[in-house]
Amino acid sequence: MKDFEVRIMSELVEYAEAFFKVEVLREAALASLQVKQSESLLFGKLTVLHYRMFGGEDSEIYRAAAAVELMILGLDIIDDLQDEDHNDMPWHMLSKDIALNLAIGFLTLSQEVLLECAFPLDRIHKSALYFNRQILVAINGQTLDLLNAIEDEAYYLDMVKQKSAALLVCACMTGVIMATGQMDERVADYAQEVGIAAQIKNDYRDLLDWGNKNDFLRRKRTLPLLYLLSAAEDQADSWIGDYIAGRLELEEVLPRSGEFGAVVERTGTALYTSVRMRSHYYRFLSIIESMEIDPKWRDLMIEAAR
Amino acid sequence: MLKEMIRKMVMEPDFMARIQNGQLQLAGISALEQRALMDVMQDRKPDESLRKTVYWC
Repeated sequence: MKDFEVRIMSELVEYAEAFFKVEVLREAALASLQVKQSESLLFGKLTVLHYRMFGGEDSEIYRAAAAVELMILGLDIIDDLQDEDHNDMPWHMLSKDIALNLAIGFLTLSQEVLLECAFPLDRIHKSALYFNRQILVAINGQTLDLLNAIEDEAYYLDMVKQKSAALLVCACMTGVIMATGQMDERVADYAQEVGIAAQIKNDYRDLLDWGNKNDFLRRKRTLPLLYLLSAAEDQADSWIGDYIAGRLELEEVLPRSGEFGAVVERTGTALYTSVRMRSHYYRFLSIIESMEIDPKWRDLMIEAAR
Repeated sequence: MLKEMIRKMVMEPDFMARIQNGQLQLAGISALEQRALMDVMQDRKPDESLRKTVYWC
């Protein structure tokens, strides 16, 4: 796993240079890949890790991991274009129409790379099917997120399983399928728990950070916000519900950022979110620790999920 | 149930203290939630790991 980043980056750069012929696309693609590298290529790492965990030994898995990273990158770009988020990213330096082409290019290239892997054809076929189905699940989840119609935690969890966890499951399962030709439901279950825990953690961060993308100011309904709304019942805290319901305007709540943090603490929102996040993480631990797998790979997965 | 328990804990410090001391049973929540709740309370502050970015979401 040590030379993982070098090997996968080599695949990524080679494919980007071969298929993005137009200079502006090629330069943006290479800059985008550098961003992925700076984020440690975690999804591709999970693919390689699961391939090894399930007995795979071929170095061709790095190509499959590159396919996974390309898919994630394409969806990340689309997500950022929709949310108008992460404005320092290379794709935001392009006009929206070109950035959309870059995203479609990465998604299509991910299929090209996956189909070019030198694994048995039945495994590639099964993997490509799984890939596409998980992307479709994620697109449905992303749509639910954009609609922002979440009314309760069950709805939130359903959305998160689709939008975020499905891609994490896909990264892990691609490695399992390439190694064994089969899927493993235990892997799907624990990867889903990791994905949910990670999303809850991100949603808490995005609730508190008023300097950047902020879910409260955008009235985005997430698990921490749902709890906060149910717990902020005092007269002094009623402005929180009033803002989410549209009875207050943005400029009326912007001066209250300090007060907001205090309400989050006082209502137990931090405690509740932390317990929910940890519960999903412990569910992941419980599943992976019950599996008969080499402790070396198990421990690496636990480290990756922290 | 977890939600109601935490709301009671933040409103009634004595109730929280009794849970921390093991004087009250955590009925109605799953074993994993019990473990998570006790771990978070032992930290005695909001989970710092919550503030870190997870970049795959």
